[in-house]
Amino acid sequence: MSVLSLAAVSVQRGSRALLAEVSLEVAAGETVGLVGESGAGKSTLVRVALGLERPHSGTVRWGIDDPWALSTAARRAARARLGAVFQQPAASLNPRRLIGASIGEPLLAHARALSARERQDRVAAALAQVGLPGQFAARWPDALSGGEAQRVALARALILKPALVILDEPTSALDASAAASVLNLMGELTRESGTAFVIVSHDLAAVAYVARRCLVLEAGRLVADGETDALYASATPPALSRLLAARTERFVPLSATR
Amino acid sequence: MPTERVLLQAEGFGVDYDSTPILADIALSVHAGEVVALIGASGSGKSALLRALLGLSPATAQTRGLLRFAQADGGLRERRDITPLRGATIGFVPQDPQTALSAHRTVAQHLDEVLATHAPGSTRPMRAEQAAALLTSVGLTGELLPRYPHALSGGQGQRVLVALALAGNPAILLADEPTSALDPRATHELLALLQAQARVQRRGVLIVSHDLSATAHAADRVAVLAGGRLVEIGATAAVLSQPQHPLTAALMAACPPLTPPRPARLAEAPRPAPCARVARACAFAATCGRAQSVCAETPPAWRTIAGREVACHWPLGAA
Repeated sequence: MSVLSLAAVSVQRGSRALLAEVSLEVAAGETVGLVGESGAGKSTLVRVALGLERPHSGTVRWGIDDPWALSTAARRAARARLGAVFQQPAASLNPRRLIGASIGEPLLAHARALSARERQDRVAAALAQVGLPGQFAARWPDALSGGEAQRVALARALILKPALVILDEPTSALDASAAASVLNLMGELTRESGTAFVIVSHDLAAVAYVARRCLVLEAGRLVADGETDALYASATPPALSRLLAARTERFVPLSATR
Repeated sequence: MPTERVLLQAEGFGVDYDSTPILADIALSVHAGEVVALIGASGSGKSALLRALLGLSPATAQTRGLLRFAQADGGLRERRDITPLRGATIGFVPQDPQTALSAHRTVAQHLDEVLATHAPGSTRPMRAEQAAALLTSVGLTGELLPRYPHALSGGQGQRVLVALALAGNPAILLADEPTSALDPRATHELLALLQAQARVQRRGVLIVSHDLSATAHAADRVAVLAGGRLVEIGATAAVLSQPQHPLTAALMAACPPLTPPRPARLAEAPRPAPCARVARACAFAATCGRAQSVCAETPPAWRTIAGREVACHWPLGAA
């Protein structure tokens, strides 16, 4: 079953089409990459998928529900099925809240029946899921490295056990080693958590590391949807070939035997 | 580039914040016509070095060693007060156009202000001509002059920042993570622009970045900073094709390959001990897989191997 489906979704900004007739499905437990040049519509697609922006035409579905056919309250409740992680780890955590409180915050909105003790247990479990020790709950965000902050953001995104987590450029603000730690974690989560992930990135190698299926956006249109390695090998459509050509990693990483 | 003029030279340079060493033993030079990439993970001390080079260290910071800058007559001179050099000798390209530019001023107003600062006697029409020329020199057109920062793409905003840094015609361009918010194509174009500033205008370009892969290919030389110290410096091709310091190798192995085969887990680089604690040992003595007892007892001396310098007791050697 699809956890997310878009049918002929279009978004206009003035006379410009930010998204034009985009249709796609993300199956339960699947990991999908989304690549495209700046301005291709990646961020708009993320906002539409998360129900933060209503498309001008077309249908969004979370499972069987159309969020825009629901009441505001019901849409808000249904949003618990989705998690999101954004590019800037520092900016996505409230500096005046302990990490445990930030991670547990979605529970206050969506699982109000839980006791404080149960919330603490869920926070501890979420930290463990992202490979961080339980003591992190009592730390402040400024004490985190970039990689740790991204893990905390993932813990918060996962705490309601969502069907789908969307990650928008989760590694591009991180140094190579911190990015590797987040990609390693992503690898574990995609294999073990049962959650579906959509990873949006201009780092084609990072996308290929975690996602076997890849979508390519160009000027608001979905121009490719297929097996990541096969798409990269074919270097089509043109938007993907330009992204491949512009890759700056001219050296061969030691881990590769190319 | 031994024949080229040295524009910037650090020697035994270090910075203490509140008596705690943040940077130590920095020896680095930037020559006219070359691009140097200074690569460091978060916490490596690259922001502290950047601030020190711009004379923007906190007032309570203490510096050790020397910073020398090129003089108009071609010589090098030690400078303690860097403030007067900012803009005229060393031009700074900040990281993020949306925060570096004022949201309620146009591109023209930004350029005019900087040009007026560098040439107090100039007239507005003179500056308008210069502003247009500066935009052209960074590959933009006068069309952008009336625009506000929000109406610029990431790549355009970054180029405007380069134009502003060039307004004082500096010998050295210092860029802080200039590509971290750009897509691959804009990254490529911006690095080409910085490279042209070195090649054609004979400036020295120092790019500070956490991203070895994104910046290195545009650089002639790469310097790797970790725990407040440099660990490896050399020609880009030599360092990247055969890194000698375990950290450099680990940073490279941390980048996933584009095509299969892929490792089941990516390498995560060893963490250095804080600068303050490593005066008598290698910063990686506790975390490096190759460490021997000597690593915890003596700081590694610099040695030259295969065209680069490396500070390691047990460099990786020929593959």
